[in-house]
Amino acid sequence: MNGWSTQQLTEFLAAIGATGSRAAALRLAVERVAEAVEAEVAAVMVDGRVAAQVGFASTGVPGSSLRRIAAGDDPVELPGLGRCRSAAGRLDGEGDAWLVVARAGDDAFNSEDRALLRGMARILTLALRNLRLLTDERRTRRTSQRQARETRQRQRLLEALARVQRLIVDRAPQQQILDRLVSDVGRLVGDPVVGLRLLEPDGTLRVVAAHGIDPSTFRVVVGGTPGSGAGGLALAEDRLVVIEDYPRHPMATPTLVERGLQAAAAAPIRADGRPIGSLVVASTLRGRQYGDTELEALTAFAELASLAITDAERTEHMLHSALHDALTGLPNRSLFSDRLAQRLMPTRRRRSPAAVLFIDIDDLKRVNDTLGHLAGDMALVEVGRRLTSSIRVGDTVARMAGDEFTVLMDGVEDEQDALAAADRLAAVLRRPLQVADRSLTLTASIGVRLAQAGQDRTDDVLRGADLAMYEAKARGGGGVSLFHPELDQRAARRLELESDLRTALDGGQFRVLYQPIVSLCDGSLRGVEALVRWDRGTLGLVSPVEFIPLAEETGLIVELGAWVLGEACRAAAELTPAARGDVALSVNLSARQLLEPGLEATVAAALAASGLAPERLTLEITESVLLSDAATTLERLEALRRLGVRVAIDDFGTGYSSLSYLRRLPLDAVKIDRSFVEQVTLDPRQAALVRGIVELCHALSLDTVAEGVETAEQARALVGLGCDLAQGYHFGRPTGIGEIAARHVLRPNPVKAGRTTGGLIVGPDDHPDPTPLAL
Amino acid sequence: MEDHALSPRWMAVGRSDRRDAGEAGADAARQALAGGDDPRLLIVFAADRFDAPALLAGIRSVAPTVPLIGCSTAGEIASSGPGEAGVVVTALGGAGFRVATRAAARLSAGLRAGGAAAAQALDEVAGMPYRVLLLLADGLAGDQQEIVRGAYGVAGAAVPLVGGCAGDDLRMVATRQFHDDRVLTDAVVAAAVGSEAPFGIGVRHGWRRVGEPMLVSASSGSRVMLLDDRPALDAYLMRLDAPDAARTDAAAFTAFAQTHPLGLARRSGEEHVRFVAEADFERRELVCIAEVPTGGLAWLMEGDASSVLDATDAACIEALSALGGRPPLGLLTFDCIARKSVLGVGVGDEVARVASHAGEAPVAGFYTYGEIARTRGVTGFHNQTLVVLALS
Repeated sequence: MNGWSTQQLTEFLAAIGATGSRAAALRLAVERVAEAVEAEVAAVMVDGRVAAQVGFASTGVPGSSLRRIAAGDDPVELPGLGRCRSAAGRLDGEGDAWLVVARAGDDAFNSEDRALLRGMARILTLALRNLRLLTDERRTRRTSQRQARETRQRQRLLEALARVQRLIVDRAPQQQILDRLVSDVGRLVGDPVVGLRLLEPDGTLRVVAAHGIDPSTFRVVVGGTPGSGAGGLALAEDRLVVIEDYPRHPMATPTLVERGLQAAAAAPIRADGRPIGSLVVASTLRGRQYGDTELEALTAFAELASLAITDAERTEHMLHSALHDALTGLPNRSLFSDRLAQRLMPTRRRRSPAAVLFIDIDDLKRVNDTLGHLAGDMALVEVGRRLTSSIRVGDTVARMAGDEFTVLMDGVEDEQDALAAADRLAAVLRRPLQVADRSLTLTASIGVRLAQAGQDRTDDVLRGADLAMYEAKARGGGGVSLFHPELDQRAARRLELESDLRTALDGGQFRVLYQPIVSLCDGSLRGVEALVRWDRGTLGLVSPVEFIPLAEETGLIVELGAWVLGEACRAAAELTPAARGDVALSVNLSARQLLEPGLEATVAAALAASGLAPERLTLEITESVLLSDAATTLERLEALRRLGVRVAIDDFGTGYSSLSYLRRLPLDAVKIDRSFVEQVTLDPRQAALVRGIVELCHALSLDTVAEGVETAEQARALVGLGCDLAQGYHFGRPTGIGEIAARHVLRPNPVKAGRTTGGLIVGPDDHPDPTPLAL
Repeated sequence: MEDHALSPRWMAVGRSDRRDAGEAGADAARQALAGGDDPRLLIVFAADRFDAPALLAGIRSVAPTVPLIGCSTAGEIASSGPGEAGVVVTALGGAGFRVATRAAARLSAGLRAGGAAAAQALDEVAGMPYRVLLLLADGLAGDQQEIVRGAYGVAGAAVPLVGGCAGDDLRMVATRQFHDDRVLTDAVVAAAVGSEAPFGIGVRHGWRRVGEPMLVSASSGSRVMLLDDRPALDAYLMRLDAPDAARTDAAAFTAFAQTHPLGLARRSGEEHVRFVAEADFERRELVCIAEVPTGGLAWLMEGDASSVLDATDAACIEALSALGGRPPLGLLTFDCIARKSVLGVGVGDEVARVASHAGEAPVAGFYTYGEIARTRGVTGFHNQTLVVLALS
């Protein structure tokens, strides 16, 4: 929506009134209409011929395509432009004449464009007729009185239309516009009664403006239901209605006949192409007949009234939608920022601080993933409603994006006061809500930042509240945190880390370490998991817990992941000749990598470059990945398996576990999360759960790997539960790959003897039948 | 790519900063012509300081018959960087290009007719698979959109219009246009270029919206009286948190306004940018350099060196991506003089960026008093914008 339509119509009216010939008027019309609706092509078609056009070189005007637009085709193919959207407006009274437009691409003409097109077509019709009369006048050099009168009338009509148009453009109050409009109609048509009525939501007609008679009388005179009287008929049938012998007309109402009504005419008023009311003139003059000029004036003014009404609604809507969130109807980020900026303007008067609350709904993603986005949207609407009903008048609630809301509170005493308010909102949000026949409990993380007029800047305040919200979220969600300056420092460190991370790969600061994965039944080394470490040199080691999420967020994980994969494949391939022939390699794949279109190529390249057999490579994905975009994930996993590599689920049991995907997805192995392993010797229920997982996996021919095994006791328990493979500090910390291989080959130590050596349970290297490698 | 099936095409750029106009012209033309055989068009962008007839004579001494268009500038551009006192000559050649040129004088008496006459050149390259109309107009001749309208009426929607308005180094007195051996003023010169390979056009301004939109509640021509029903100047100053000096001092205001134009909402693509030229401190109104219609939405815009440079990247990428994977033969740029003032001493960075997008291919262009690029819709005249034409 560009917002210039009424302006363009007014300018058009002025410009076309000044043209001196039919050709000039047509040329101006096609150019201006193309500009007004941002179309490449516009044409006037008269009796199937192109009378004027813009958009084609004169030698290449596609008459037949333009005729199809006039006939209502949309879309159409046009030479040089391809597929175009199109629209047509009729030039009433000019025979088979149309103003047509076409716009390249798929952007269809909306109701505003079409209203504008109709308005311009109407003005063009009037101008053409006026020109014709003027031409006749020039030709004969002796005008009949009637022609002269008509010419003057039309000139007056154009002037009157321009005046009303100017009021619309100047955003005069709607009542003033409509009052002016009906009085002009009265003056130009000469009937004593003029009324403009609009349909109310309840189906009745309301008189919004009247001339020559006061509105209450008018209502009595003309009645109030669609379908009756000239006005009602015009509305019901969406056409110009003329009744010249009213007393004898079948639609005549006795009351009106009694009051001496002799003739009436009415034109429909439309919004978005639908009739919403009518403009009526009525006369008590016996033998009253309506001339073309009068009916033209009536129709033209009805169009203008339509425009005035839709324009007012559109402006309101346009401003509202630019400043409000479409889903919740709450103010959006820009309106919130503006209100905050206004609140922070310096004032002479001392004011208590304001507080900004940054609210993030903790589990919305889960709602979207499990119940669908519609449910998620409903939950957001409810959150907005609850927040709005829990604040004071004058405070502002806004939806910033996705699941983020903000509240601007005025007149806060101090930090404690603001925190108490935030706690109240948190409690309101915690109350169960009904969505899609389900009762849900959502929690929110809330960050609070106080702000002082004349001291704090809008951006700083919002960022501070946002940082505090992240702090609340980092503490596990569902809580409230107050901004403190240290958060700024932490954010700065993060920024610094992020920027260093970008250079770390080129700087050779990453290393890959390998953790052994062993067979629980014989302790033999079956595989290694590649783990990345970041050594910032003098600044020390950075924990993967810190930099992996950062790499995920910034997208660097894709490049980093590819490097780790290449490095690990190379190391694993080089290892083979010296060590046992079949140590497998596991490499983690992040969610981001999985969605990367080039993933298969990256994996294939790593395998090709290293010479590692594809079946020796297992790619590990976490459970949460499966939830985000199941269809895409499935496709990608299948594509990877077509390369011959294996796929394992990592950290099984930590996500929103659903055993069903074990069956659905193309998997080879399941890695049981360390949190289960920790409990396996302590809690019989956890042990039973692990047994269940293992049995299910076996039933589906999936290998099971226990993660985070730290004691011999845990290892023995896992053997008892039927688990195949294990990794953890008990078997070896992440280290260089050569070192692992050397230790496993050199230090046999059967598990059945129950002995451990150096924290490592290892199997005999002469194991007779190494089953196909699990990992 | 079926390049082997296409006829040869080449673009080369020569540049000279020699003091003597004739020598500079000959020098730059010679470099450009070294780019290949069969030259088909020369495009000349020359600093205002030159004795123009002597400059053309110099060029003609080495290329007597090659069709030529060109203009005076507010600074010239080539791969090696921006300049203010030199001449840049671009040559297009090879059987894969077909070219026809036109000039229309007495432009201010008939802007539309001038645009239409210039566009007639397209007739001579009809039948080529890809066509573009290059327009170089006198920026002081009047409403440039009228020239675009005139050219569009002849060219139609299938042929893009690209170009810029000649400059006179910000003297704002008179600009010159070149056509073959003639030096014109108050004219538009055009070259219709037909090619066997695609052209790409990028258009970006590099300003970003500040805050929420405002309704232009009252305006008249280029004067804005009310924004959101408040005195326009007050709304402008408050929303942008303007420095104190700009609130009272005309010069300080103009300096501030140079980096804070108005953006008018458009259906598609970027806003139309309106430069705010001055403040009427008495009446609390804004005076812009082009019309701001009443009743529409307008944004306050801001820009800095980084957003201007981002726009440079975006315009280059847009232009190059339309080449269907072909490497560019070269880039022509039409860059608003106002963008140059935003960049200040960093103006070299912008040209370096364009050059880096061009890779091995040459770059030529100039700083304009207005830019022409019609690719969508029918309007095609811009302010404060960078237009990039990629040839392949």
